[in-house]
Amino acid sequence: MKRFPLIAACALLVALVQLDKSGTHLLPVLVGMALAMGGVLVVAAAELSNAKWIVPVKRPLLAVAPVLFVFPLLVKIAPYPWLAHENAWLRRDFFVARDVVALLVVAIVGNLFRRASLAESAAKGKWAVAYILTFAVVKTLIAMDWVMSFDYPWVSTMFPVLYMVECFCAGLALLGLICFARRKSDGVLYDTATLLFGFALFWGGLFFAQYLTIWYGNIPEEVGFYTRRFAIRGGKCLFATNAILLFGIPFTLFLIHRARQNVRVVTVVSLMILAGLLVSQLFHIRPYVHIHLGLLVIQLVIMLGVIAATISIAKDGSKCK
Amino acid sequence: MKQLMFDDKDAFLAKLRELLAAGTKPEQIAVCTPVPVHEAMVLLQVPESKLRWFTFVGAFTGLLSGFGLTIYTVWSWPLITGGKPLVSLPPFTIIAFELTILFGAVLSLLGFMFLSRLPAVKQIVTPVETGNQYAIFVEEDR
Amino acid sequence: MKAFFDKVEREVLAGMQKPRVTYWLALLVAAGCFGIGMACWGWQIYSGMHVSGKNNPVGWYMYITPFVFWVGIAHSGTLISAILYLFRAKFRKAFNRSAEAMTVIAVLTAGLFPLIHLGRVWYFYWLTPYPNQRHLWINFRSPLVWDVFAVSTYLTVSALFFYVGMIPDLAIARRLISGPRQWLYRILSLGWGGTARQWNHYERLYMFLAAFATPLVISVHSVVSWDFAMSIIPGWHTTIFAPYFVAGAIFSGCAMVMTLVIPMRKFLRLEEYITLDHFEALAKVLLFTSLIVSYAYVVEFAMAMYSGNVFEVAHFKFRMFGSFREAYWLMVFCNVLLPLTLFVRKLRRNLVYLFIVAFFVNVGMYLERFIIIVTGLAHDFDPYAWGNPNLSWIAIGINVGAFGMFFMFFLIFVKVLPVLAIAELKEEHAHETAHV
Repeated sequence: MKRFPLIAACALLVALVQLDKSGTHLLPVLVGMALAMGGVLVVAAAELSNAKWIVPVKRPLLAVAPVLFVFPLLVKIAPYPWLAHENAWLRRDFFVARDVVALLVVAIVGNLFRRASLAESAAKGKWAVAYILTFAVVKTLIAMDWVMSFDYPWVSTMFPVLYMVECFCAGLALLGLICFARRKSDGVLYDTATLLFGFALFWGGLFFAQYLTIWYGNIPEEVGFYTRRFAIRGGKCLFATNAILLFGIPFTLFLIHRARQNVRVVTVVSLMILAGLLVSQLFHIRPYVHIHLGLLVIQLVIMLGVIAATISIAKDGSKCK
Repeated sequence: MKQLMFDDKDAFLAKLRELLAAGTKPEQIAVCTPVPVHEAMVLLQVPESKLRWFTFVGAFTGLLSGFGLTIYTVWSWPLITGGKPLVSLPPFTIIAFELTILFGAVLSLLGFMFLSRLPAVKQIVTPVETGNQYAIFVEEDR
Repeated sequence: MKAFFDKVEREVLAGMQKPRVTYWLALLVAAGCFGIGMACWGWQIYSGMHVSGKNNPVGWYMYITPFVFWVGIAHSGTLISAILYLFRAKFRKAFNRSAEAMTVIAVLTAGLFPLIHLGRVWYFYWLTPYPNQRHLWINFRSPLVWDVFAVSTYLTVSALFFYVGMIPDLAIARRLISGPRQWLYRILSLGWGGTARQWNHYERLYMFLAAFATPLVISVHSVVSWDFAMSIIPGWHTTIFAPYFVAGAIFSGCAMVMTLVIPMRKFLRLEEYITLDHFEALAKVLLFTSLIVSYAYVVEFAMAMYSGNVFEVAHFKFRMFGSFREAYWLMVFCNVLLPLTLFVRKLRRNLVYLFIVAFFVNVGMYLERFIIIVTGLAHDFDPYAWGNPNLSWIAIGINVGAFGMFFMFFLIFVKVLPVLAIAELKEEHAHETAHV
């Protein structure tokens, strides 16, 4: 009976997204996808590297896996410029079909991995590998289809890689928030913070690499991506904020050893990373999408609420044991 | 100078506790071990290593030098290449990043050598070997 | 515990005793190759750069390929040493000393190639920012200058890391090795005594060096990749180069570690310390990085087709069906297909199979750098400017010389310095027995 409000909330979200013609839905759905896929990804990586520290938080973190089944229903065509002249790859029917199938596949594989991992079965390593490979393909497809196609024919081969790393950072941020709920400062907190530090640095390097390459080459076909976004009011500010939230703050704060052991600092950094994800998506889609603030807030609240609810249900379940 | 040698780590630690309990001051005791023994460090009240200050100073100097070198030289000889601005931060950041790591690492090594009093010339010329045994050296009170 | 400590010291240092005939033969072959390389370089300096086979448009050919190759090999050593240390991966201890030695030697080898490529090698100092009478400064906006800083920093820091890791082991060698060599170990070990204070500072230093080495590894090969990505040539100008090259570097470096350590383990009788489990873990890293490299190949190709850019599409068609198609498909087999067999556990634990795969991966990764550089330059925008480089025996000779130099120095390392991190093995053993 506890699941009913959750399912109702999901149904409401699906309805809101499918009725939303403005493209605003991309922000909450992409952030939610990063959290859900990222959470499972962190556990998969930990299983493959035999990391024992994650065992206490495996159950709540993997609890987001069922949410993956909602995403195939959240595939909706935003106001892409290429809709006016479709080609073999970028056309409505194929676009929707391949994205729905891809998200369904990753949901299935993710949940099969979840089952194997929680049961500590011998095959959990194999399912971890399967999930990681599926994730890589699907996330690349989503990044290319949902966000990169706005600027068609612009390409950046780093684009999907940045999305995958942001996803891993989102999973770590989720882990940081789970640590906040546990209210314990132990090995799990410290390792989460250290990983956040490392991946913030890694993300910063990749972000810089994409910008540097495009800035240096200065080719009209490529440079337009950044100039279009800087030309809008607040564009440069958004760009800087993105870098500060996803790299600047986590990196400088976690340089200090004691900060990595402090639950409050880790929670604040995790929230900043989530905010940074939102800013990142906003920066990418702003030239093409008119954001409806009301729709955005409602969809975001439901999305994050659904994820938080699935985790807390799992935590209560584990307490009963 | 009293020299006590142990094959076993637990016996070594037990004797160390015994000496400290008997009133020997931690400054009078030196230990030589084949592997780091953290319990001994705690017992002898070895303070937290100050190496991180050397590292931080080195890294910060490197960062400043990197930007300083690049920006000073481009103002000194203002040559525009590739249509890029004179003070172009993306490339200069790379140089500063590399120098941060270089100076940080080198100063860390120098700091370590200073803090550990290495090279220990007396030990190089006439080495006193304790081998795989855990050794306690106690300075006798006069 | 002391029995284990004495045993590990004895068995590892046994490798540093008088070498057998096979060692001298191997050293002779390596030194011979090195000599050939030096002779070829001498001939090039005397005759001029035309003997190197490079021309217009392929101005970067057989000297930049090995430069990137050897810098890539070096990266795996730092990964195994520094990054796996930060991740607290236990299997690293079997390889880290050899890997660190491999890093230093590979960076030295790599660093030779820009000098060879310069032609007038005596002017190499023009690449450094020194105050001069003409008030000239180097162009810090150029990726080639970023290379100078990155590779020099990498050489210094990896040499530091290698040396610092060895200090306690050099003290062991000082104690157990007699003869004139002992003075070398006395001086190099700096009079290390193993006091509590020294260990305290030492552990901090090692951690800081590992923490510095990690972003350094990623930045150095990113900077080397930007030698290409900062241009506008199709196939070169693409944003993914930085992580793609870093993954490729770790991939080729792991293969080289296997190539070096599998025979070394047999000849020095270190089977007890370097086990099949260690090699399986290394094989998994090899497989993982192979998947990343394959991903990069697919994404680059897919994005080129997706964008429909005439030049990008033409470039990738040239890579697959042009003058160098045999090299391209061999590369795909070695880097993408063959490592997929490592999904099979039995093959991961078979040392002969791993040695063969490692060999092919080394070939494949050398070819990858060759393909990127040469196809990019041979077939860019203007058909009037298309052209292929000339086959050059001098260039081949210098490349052979580089391999000779690498193996020669590694063989010397094996006999002069301990190939396993003895102090770390002791520490691991002490921890394990303490918890029993």
